[in-house]
Amino acid sequence: MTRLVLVFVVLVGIGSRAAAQGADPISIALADPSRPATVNIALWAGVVSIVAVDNGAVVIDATTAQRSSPGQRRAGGRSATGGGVGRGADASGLTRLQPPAGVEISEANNVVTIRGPLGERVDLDIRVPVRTNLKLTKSAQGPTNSPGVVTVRGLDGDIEIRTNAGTITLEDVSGSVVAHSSNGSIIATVRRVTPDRPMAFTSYNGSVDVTLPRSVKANFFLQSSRGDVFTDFDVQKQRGGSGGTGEGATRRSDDRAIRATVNGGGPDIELRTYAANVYLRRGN
Amino acid sequence: MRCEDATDRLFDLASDDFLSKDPQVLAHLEACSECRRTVAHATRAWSLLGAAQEPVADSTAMRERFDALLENQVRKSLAPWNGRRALAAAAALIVTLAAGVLIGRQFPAVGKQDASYMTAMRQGMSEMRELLTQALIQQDVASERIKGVSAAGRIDDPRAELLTAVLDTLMHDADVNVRLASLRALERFRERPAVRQGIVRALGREESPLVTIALIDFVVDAKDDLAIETLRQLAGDTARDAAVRETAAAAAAQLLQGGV
Amino acid sequence: MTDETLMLAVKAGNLDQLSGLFERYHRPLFGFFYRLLRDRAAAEDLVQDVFVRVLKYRHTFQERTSFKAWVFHIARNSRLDFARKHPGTDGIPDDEAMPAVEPGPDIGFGNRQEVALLHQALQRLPADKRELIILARYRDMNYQQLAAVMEIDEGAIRVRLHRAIRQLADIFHELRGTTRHAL
Repeated sequence: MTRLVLVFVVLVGIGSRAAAQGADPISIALADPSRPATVNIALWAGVVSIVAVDNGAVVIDATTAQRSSPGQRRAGGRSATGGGVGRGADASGLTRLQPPAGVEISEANNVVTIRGPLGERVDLDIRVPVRTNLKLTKSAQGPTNSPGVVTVRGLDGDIEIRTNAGTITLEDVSGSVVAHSSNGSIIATVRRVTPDRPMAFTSYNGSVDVTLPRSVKANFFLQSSRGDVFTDFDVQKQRGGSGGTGEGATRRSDDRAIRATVNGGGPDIELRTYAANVYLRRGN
Repeated sequence: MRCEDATDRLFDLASDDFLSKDPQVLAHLEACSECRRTVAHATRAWSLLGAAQEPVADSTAMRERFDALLENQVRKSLAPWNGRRALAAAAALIVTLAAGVLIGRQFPAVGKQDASYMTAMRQGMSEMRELLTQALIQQDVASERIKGVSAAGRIDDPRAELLTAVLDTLMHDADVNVRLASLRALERFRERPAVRQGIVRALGREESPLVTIALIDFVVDAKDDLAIETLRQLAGDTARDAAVRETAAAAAAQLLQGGV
Repeated sequence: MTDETLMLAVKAGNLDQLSGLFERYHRPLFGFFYRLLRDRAAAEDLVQDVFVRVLKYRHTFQERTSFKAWVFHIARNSRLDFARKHPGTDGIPDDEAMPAVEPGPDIGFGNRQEVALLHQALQRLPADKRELIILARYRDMNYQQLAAVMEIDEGAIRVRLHRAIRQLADIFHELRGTTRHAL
């Protein structure tokens, strides 16, 4: 059942100063805290950090370079947190919170959607419940000195990230991961894997360094067109490369995908890059 | 062997003359006329049983009743196709299908099959496949879309509609990894003209350098001369990444030579 | 596409696939029920009942099960419930009222009588032994499948089937009034 969506849309202020302007953190309560949350983020560019904490809400700290509209801090008015219609009618004495200029935040049925304005960089610092699914798309090639990294820590859910710039770091995540950075590395430690779910960690010019539980069952596709593939899993190799198997890092060098099954095989897990190296590490 | 031991073991369904092949039993039979009589009578009865014709069913009437039952059930229990639960079931189904086709026999062993039945059966199957693939590919979660195309790639002899769905995913899915998985799923079918043409089309419009290079590798491995022109264009496209252009140029040269 | 694959599809929610299984099995099921009960209307009702149950219990179909064994197991249960609701259909039938068995086209005249007698003999068997013979003889089930349908082990099913056959032969020969001769 979807609740009424509360959308904050703020127009870009006229004559804004080019100073970094942040709003106060916005806390979005979930429609049903007992079910997993889903956070969908569509950004042009920016640094994104998503950390799992033990709460029932999604707390968003958004920073842009634009000054937010004059109406940002206004006393009174309607409740600005994700309350349902009919709740919190009296907001006297409260501050109305607004996200920075151009950032849209909405919630419906446990799905929190954050949209950044086209052509603008937005940095996001988000705290979510542990059981959260994530879908993040960052479309621009950021400036080379600040491509905008993505950090995700502690989430347990379906994690999907595509970015055209910036390293993706996934720390202590669980569930399933489908991640791609066309201009940046991927570093991931996955604590627990959802069975029967394909995964993918791919980059164009960055390295792909993934740690998976040693008990993972998978059919791996490991490929680096111009670099090397390393693993300390005991792989039953099916094609490509040279070198031995077993304990310790094993070097493989191959143009096409190395197919390897681990622990008897399972869903497809792809680690791939064009220019740099692939590291498939055996965790606990 | 005594009669009471032999008497329950005289026959064998698997034996072509209905008689047990057990040497102990046969030895007893040579010595025991009572048991021989039993075998004779039973064999006669068994063979006469076979003389009766199979009762003729009123298939039309039964069909109608069954169709009504099924329609009622389907209406009652059909979950929406874009529900996550139905999709998990669909995914499991495609995987099961793939496994079933790989492991099981292609054709049923039961009874005589007439041509119209087989046609109807095939239509039902392919229709179901299409529905499932469509549903999986439309899923919000990339991991499930990857599951869908990967499973499609494991089905033996898929119909054109299924491959079209995978090709569509290759060309239109927003997620790079889903496109890579679609390409991998199509490797088995790279001799099919529709696939070869589709790959070349995809090559012409793909924006991700990683997927573009994967497509180039594909056409080289498939020895697809159709791609030569597109590869040349890629090689000359200054908007493209240098590595992509080099790879395209090398691939075009390789295909022209006709070698690997 | 194997029966099992179709049934797993049904189990997974694609009920339309049951159509294919209906196509393959409604005649064998009808034949089974008709030979058992010699009542066309009842046999048709029971076929329908089997598919109702297949739908109702589809979640119990296990991956490694033979569909044929499973569906005939359901058929037996259908028949048992039917017998409970219609007492008397299980008992020794009135030979006069029974519809004649249609012998095959190649049977000579002499044998026609024998075939008729044999089927009378079959009808005199207790229902569960009749079932066993019908499944083994007309549904081409091997010991393993029979064991699965009856839910007893293969060794026991051999003994049961063989005893049923001997009993059938005895009744048949009684009906023929043939005395046994030494061979």
